[in-house]
Formats: sequence, C-alpha cells, structure tokens
Amino acid sequence: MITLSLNGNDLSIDADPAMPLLWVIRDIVQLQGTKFGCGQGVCGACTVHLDGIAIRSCITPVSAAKGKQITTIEGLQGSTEADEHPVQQAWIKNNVPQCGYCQSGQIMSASALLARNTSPTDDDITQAMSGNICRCGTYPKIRQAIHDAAKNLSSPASSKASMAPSTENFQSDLSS
Amino acid sequence: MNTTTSRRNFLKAAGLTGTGLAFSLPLSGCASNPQHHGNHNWHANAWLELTPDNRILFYLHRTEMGQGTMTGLTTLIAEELEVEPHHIVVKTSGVHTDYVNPLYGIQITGGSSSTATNWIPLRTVAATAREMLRNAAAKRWNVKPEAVQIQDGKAHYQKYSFTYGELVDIAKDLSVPSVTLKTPDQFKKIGKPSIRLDAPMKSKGTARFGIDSAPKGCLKASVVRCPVIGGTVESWDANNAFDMPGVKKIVAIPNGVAVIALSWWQAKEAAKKLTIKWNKPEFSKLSDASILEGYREALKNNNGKTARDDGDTTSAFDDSQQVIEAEYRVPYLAHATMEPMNCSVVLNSDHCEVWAPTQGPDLAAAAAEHASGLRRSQITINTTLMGGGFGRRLNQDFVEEAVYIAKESGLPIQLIWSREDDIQNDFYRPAAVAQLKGSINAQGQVDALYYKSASPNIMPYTFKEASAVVLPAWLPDGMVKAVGSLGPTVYGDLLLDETSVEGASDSPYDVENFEVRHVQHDPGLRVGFWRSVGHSYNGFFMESFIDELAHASNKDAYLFRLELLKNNIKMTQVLSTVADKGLWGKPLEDKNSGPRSQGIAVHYSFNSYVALLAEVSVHNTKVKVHKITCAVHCGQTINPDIVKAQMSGGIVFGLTQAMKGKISIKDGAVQETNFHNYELLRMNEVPEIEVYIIPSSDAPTGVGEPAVPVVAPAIANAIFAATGKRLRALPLTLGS
Repeated sequence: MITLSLNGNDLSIDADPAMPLLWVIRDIVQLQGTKFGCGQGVCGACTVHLDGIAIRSCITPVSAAKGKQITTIEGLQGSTEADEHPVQQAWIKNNVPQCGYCQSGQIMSASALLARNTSPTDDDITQAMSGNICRCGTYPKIRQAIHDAAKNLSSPASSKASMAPSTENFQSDLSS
Repeated sequence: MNTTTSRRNFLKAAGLTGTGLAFSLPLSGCASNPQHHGNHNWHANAWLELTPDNRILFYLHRTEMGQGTMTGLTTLIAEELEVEPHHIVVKTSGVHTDYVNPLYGIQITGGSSSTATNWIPLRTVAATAREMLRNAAAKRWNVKPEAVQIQDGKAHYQKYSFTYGELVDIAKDLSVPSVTLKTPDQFKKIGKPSIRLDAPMKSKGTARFGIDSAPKGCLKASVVRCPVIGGTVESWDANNAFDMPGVKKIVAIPNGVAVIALSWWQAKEAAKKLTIKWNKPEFSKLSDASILEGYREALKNNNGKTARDDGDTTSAFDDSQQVIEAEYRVPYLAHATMEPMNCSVVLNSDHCEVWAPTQGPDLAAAAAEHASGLRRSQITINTTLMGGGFGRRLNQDFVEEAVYIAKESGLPIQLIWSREDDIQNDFYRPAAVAQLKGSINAQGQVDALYYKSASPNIMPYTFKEASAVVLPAWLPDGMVKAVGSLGPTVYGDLLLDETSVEGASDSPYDVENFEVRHVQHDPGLRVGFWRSVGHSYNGFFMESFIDELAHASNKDAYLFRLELLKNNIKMTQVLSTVADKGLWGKPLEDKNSGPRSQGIAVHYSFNSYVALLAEVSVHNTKVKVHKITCAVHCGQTINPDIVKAQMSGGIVFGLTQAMKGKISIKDGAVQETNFHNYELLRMNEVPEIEVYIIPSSDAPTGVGEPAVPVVAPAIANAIFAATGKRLRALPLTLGS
C-alpha cells in the first residue's frame, strides 16, 4: 500500500511503486481531468503539482509522490463550483480552450508559474509554458490569460465580479 | 427572409428531406435519444425538446473537437428562440438520418461545414418553435398572435407572461406555421463575441473526452500492431505477458494482439513481453527515396486526369516569351491529435454499445456492425468530446479494433492507443509531387499555367468505410465489403478525386490558359483527411509558384497577385487588408534579429477567402517567423472570437506543417514515434498573430481549415525575399 495526499485527501493505494502517477490518478483514483498525451513527458498534458511544482505525471513513478502534496486540476479550485482558481477564471474569460484536451496541463503549468512569480514577463511565460503542447494552437490566448490572471492575483478585490463567466449554469451531457 | 409554410418544405429547409419525421410529434424513428424523452415534453423536432419545467434541450448533431461548433450552433438556436445560449441544455445527438451532413450524405463533422450547412436549417427549426410558442400563448390569452411578444425566453402580453415551459402542453399540438428568419440588423447574439459554452468545463477538468468516457467496469486494452500498417499476425507467443500484474486476457485481432488488464499501464507493460511474427504487406519494400522515385516515374509515364482545362495551354507555351518550370513536393503527415485514439465497447450477444471520440458516428456504427457481426439496429454509438480531430477521426479503425477486442475477449473494454500507436498508425496526409509551369508574355503577364501532380487519392479509403453507411442495411455484409473494395478502381481509374487537386483546379487566378492534371499514385501507405486536405499542399505549390512568376516578371509579389485577382472582389479585399495592416513593403527592423523579410499568399478554400503576410528573419540557416498578419472573408460570423481562434489555430497548425512536419518511411515503417521526433509548434516558436475578419452579412463559410494552406507559401516566399533561395519542399529547411 502506498499512502498519498491528493487534493488534500489522504489515500491508501494498492499499486506497483513503478506505476506512473498519471495512471494511478486516472485508473485507480479515477480522477480524469489529468490527461494522457505522450507517455514520455514531452507534451505536458499530464501536468500536476507535486508540492506546488509542476511535474509530468506520466513519467513520475507513484513512489516519488510519497509524502508530498499532489494537486490535480480538480484540486485547483476552491470547495464550491463557482470558486475557480484565478487562472481558471482567466481561461474562461479569454475563451482559451479549443478542443481543451491539453488545457488541464496548461492550467497546472500556468498556476505553478504564478505561484512563484506573480508578474511574469512574456519571456517568463514562454519559459514556463514551452513544455506544454497545444495542437489547436491556443498559445496566444494562453499568454493573454496568464497576464490577466497575474493582474487579478495582484488586485484580487476587483477580480471576482469582473471575471464571473456568463455561462455558470450551462449544462451538457459532455461534462461530468 | 420568408421561409415556407408547408410541412414538407419546412422539413426540406431543415435538411430533413426523405425522412418520415413528423414535426411537433415525438421522433418516431429517432431511437437514439430515448432516454431523454419524457412523456410530457415537447419534441419539436430532431434538435429541440422543450419541457414543462422550462428546460430547452438541443440535440447537437455535430461533434465538438475544438472548432466551437457547440457554441456556434447553440447560438443559432438561441438567436431565433430568444433565449441566452447558456440557458440551453446541450445534449449529444445519436446516429440518425435526420442528422446527416447534407454536403456528404453521411453524419460527419468535417469540411469546415457545420456552420455553413446549419445556418438556415437550425434557425428555421428554432424560429418555428418560437412561432408555435407565440401561437400557444395567444391561444391561452385569447388574443391575436401579433399581440404576443417573445422576449428573454418568455411570451409576454401586456403585464402578463408565460415561460416556454408553461406553453409546451399547448404548443405541441399546434400546426406548423410559416416563419420569417431574422435579418442581420435584428441579430442580438449572432456576430457578437461571447463566452464559449465549453470553456468552463474545459478549464475545470470536468469535460469528458473519449478517454474519460469508459463505463464503470471496463478493462483497459493495449494493442501491438505490425510495424508496417496493413500487416497481419502470422503467429504470436504471449511468453510471460500472461503473468504480468493486472493482465486479464490476451487476444489476437486481425491486425495485432491485444492485452487486456485492469489498468492501461499494466496492459502496456505486459504488451512489451509479446513476441509476434508478422505477415508484412507489399509496402514494406518501400522507403523515402524509392517512394519519391515512384512519384516521379508516375508523373513521367502518365497523363493523369484533367481537373481543369481553360484555353489552350499547349499553344500558349509554344508561343511563350519566357517559360518557368519547377518541381514541388510535400511529405506524408500525421494528425497528432492531443487525445490519442481510444474507444470503449460493451458487447453482448444482441447489443453493442460504443463510446467513441469520432467525427463520424454513423461510420463508427458501420465499423462496429462489421466487427461485431450484429445488425445496425443493435449498435448504439455515444459520441464524446474529442481532444482534436483535424480529420483523423473520420476514419474508424480504432472503433473496429475495439469491437474486435471486445468480441474476442468477451469483456467490456476501453482501447487506448499510445502516442507511438497514434503517430505510426495514422491515415496520413498524402505525400505529393507537382510539376508546375508558367508562361510570361511580352507584357510581363502570365498567359498560361500548367499544374500536374501525383499523389494517392483519399477517396478509395473513405469509400471503403462510407459505403457501409450509405448502402442499404439489408445488403449482406459480403456485398457491402465487395462494393467498399471498389474504391481504388472507381477513384483510381474512373473518377478524378477532387480532394487531390482542390486549391489548384479551383484557383481564383484569372489566367487565360490554365490546365490542371492529376496522376493517382498510391505507394501503399494509407491516407486520410488532414486539416484542409488537398488545399494543405496545393496552397503551398500554387502560391509559391505564383511568387516565382511574380519575381520572373520583375513585379511586386502583392501587386502581381492583385492584378491577377482584380475580378475577384472578396480575394482582393483580404489581400489588400493584409498588405495594409501588415505594412507590406515596410518590414520591421529588429534590434535583436536584424532585418526582416516579408512573404505574401492567398488561398480560397471551403468557400472562404484568406490572405496572409508573413514576416521572417534568417540567420545562417535558421528561420525565425516574427509576425503573421491574416485576413479572412467568411461571410457572417456567428461568434467572431471563435472565428479568430480558428484562424489563429489554423495558422499555428500551418506553421507546424511549414517548419517541422515530416513522416519518414523506412522499409514501409513510419520512423517517427512521439513528439520528440514528430515535433509540434510550441509557445516559444509562436509568432505575433493578427487576424482581421472582413465584415459581411453573406451566408457563413468555413473557418476551421482555410488558414492552413496559406502559411507555408507565405513563409517560403518570405525566405526567398530574405535569401534568394526558393524552397520547393516541405518542411522548409535552409542548407543541407
């Protein structure tokens, strides 16, 4: 048994210590917001936080996560549905996603960047985000959304109202 | 716009010709959505269901793969129904003839066609429901329908109002009225930027893609396939694979061996222990050099088919002052959608249920029918969100594989492809070689253009999968297969495949003598639809060669095009827009990267007009793209922000093609495996991108694909301006 702390919950997992964290999260814990893209750590779709650092979960053995705080896209927002992380709010406001498959990973990389650098330059953003591939080519909007999120993190009082998406009650059978 | 009164014509306008569907009655034939049907709901038609508790359900019949169709098509409904788009509950439609794409005759999402083909039908559907709600309210209040206002999702009369839900009971029994669609000046939502409906779920990790859609209890499967596509299993030895943790079963399917385990990682690890002997196909004798040689031989030895023959090119070349000739070529390309192919199947003796990220749900049903041996009526397809499509998911090989695995194993399974599986088992964008020839007369004008290309046609591959859908269900399976196998004959010997010459045969350039020919030459690597299809390479061939002609006649590349396009108003608009906004002739000088050079290109595809100006700098053999300025004429926009995103995304896709994309073949095997050797553009390589939309209230045209074809030629033309070197092969590389 491996004991993990995932999104603030302590879990005991029966898994091969060599099993990549990605598949523990997806197949055993059954949180599916974290995506499989390449299995080699070269596309960033599987990005999660390990003690706040963005890592590629597809090449990280679950044993390496022991004793560390794992955060996935599901754990990024607050406890309520409307309590999105400022990066998620900026993503929604800027209509960043197209197909959306890479965006969990993009958001995890962006939020790790903003946690250590609250006013990143364009170069900082390029540096932090170039490990995450987006085949739809949403890069310009990703950059814009990170700048927006940085602004809102530095003046959080004004952020909530202006960022509230106008689709909050939207329903579809394509969402869980 | 006044649409018609009769039910027959309403159905026709809504794209429902030939079905027995009765408007305002529950969908008799539509067995695909029954779980959502409540007895008291109003099933207005195949798309709309209104409930007494005031919910509006829209059955989305096109698949969302990032192109924004969920938001776009819902906005069309919202506009005429006078509600907010996010108040509509979007449900995925099932497979039904009502949902067939009128351009193709099958239920596919592709060809940048969703908005264009639904522009009138979906608005008519919603406007008709709106008028029936108005009539229902008039009946309740005992007033004339004209006295009833429909606004903000309610019917109003003086100080009274009804929700739509309160009118459902009456509306469902009313006759179908004639409707008048809104004119552009009345639009409240169409043409305005708004939040994408799928943005929140895709930003919170709650969007369910195919890979997230396996029902509880599904085991995971990984397949080992022949290194050369088309190979079959001769013999196999599971060795120690059975003893690996989590493994439940190992089965052979026609094209490989599948390992089924509790977790996908376990299946993948166990699959490494398999030993398989393959029957390799004929294609295993070929490699890059011999493939290229084959194309050149084909061009030399065949006249090919005529795709365009204006004037008399032979005489024009005989009389020419100056003849320019060049050979261009492009390699095979993979789609590389971020979500690898996957499919979940629960199969028993009389039912097969499939969850698939597919662009063609009816094609998926046909594939499942074929692999399971069940009847079409016993197949249920659940279409999921797609992590990118770009044409890859028009082919249903992954569905067929998954159903075979379920059948052979007797287990509910989810098949997931690795990235390596995905890149090495694609339906590739065809490699192509083209010979171009141009004649310039004494006045420096182009008086003849000749284009001849060799490439494998896509249609034979499509024909095989689509014939099972369009042929009658009562035909025996053997007959369907026999007809499906006729593709290569039909398209090889009899018909021209338009997708091989599109972008050349319909080139907007006004040249008196203009000939386009195509030689079908298929080395044997399977090919498919890749974002913008034939345009993706014909745009590069044509627009690079036009640039060659401009330089040969000592004319400015922009003015040269403007002259040849003077009768084409829309193309002239986009061309002059990029020249103006992109400061043609005045490239920026950059402190860090030195002088920049510009290249320009135009292309017409999917009924849209696109121009693009690229600004690059070159250091030794390194090309840096600094800025892209693009303009599109695509008629009325539904959501301009999504249009810009599609154009911008298409530009990034085109940049990857121009600077990186190449599939290499050695002994029939694809050599690229993952993103380290099949690279996609990353953020550090993305230039500044500006997109301009020409304002228009014409009917909408495609935006998902038309940006791709102009990117490579504009960059190649800019590299020529910088270096004097004409690069005639993709990807663009300077030096050896």
